[in-house]
Amino acid sequence: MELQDIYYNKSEYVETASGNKVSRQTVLCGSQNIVLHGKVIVQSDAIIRGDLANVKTGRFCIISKGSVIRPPFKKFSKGVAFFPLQMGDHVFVGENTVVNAAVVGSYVYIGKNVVVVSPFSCKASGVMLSRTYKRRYICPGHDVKM
Amino acid sequence: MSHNIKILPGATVCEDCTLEGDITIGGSTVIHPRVTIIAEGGPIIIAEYCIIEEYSTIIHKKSDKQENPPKPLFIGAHNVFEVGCRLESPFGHIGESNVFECRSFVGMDVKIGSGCVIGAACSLTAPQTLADKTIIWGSEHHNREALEKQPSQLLQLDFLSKVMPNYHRLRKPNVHKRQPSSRQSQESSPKL
Repeated sequence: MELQDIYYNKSEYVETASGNKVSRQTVLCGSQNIVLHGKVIVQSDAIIRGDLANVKTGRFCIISKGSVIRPPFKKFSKGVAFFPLQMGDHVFVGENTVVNAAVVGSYVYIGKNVVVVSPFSCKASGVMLSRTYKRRYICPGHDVKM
Repeated sequence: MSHNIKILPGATVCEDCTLEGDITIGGSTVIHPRVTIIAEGGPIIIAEYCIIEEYSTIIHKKSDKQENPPKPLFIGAHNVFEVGCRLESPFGHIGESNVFECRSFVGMDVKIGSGCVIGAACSLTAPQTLADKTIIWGSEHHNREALEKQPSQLLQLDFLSKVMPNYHRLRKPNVHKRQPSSRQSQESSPKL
């Protein structure tokens, strides 16, 4: 799937040494725990919750407007913690999507208005998610009407 | 515009959220960044041990028949509002231990009991009453009765209230515990 070109306002984005483009309107909580491996685009109003646990993405990921990347909450035999979130290369996360998974493989396309919640994680590579998935059940396609 | 916001001691409320109107936030409740709570049709009272996650919106709208004094919206203890859920002036009372999953929507005059789950991306728009322990799930909005109790979120609350102050600017609690001598005002507050 080839995406068309999108032009962006250079003054609205911050470019890091490794080529990540992060919008100034993004909320990066606990930025010291967020690793973007280069050439990653994070659009406005996206939230990445590095304060809960480490968040790592691969290269060439796109995090679209209004999406929320947050590590999943997990109960261990001793105590509780948020599980680190790991994302592969070339992952696309659509608008207003919630990713609450532990692992997202490479080449995964997550459409808009999707809810990905642990313990379901899209571990397989090249998966396309464009529907609403939820704990223990997977419901047939429907988009969120807002 | 933010006025008359009462935060009880022990609550964790991020500064980066929109609170408007007369709002009371109970102790041990955690409010993540980018939450919107607007009380324009009357006060909103949130009890203790609630979790309100990013992009959640709770609005208490003005109704056509304005009552005097305005009716409060009371949200019981142990409720979880997951990322992006939206409540628009539901019936004046929400029970305890409900879960509003990611991107769910609850419209006007929906009465919600206790122990209910509104599934991910489900929307309730017509005026209706949800009995205790109702679960709404899936694209067809199936409903069933919960077999087991909703697991307690106390461990998560504990963790969040420990971790969040390290990373976020928080609003300070501005209500202090009442002295035992002022019991009268305690009795007049709604029972939890």
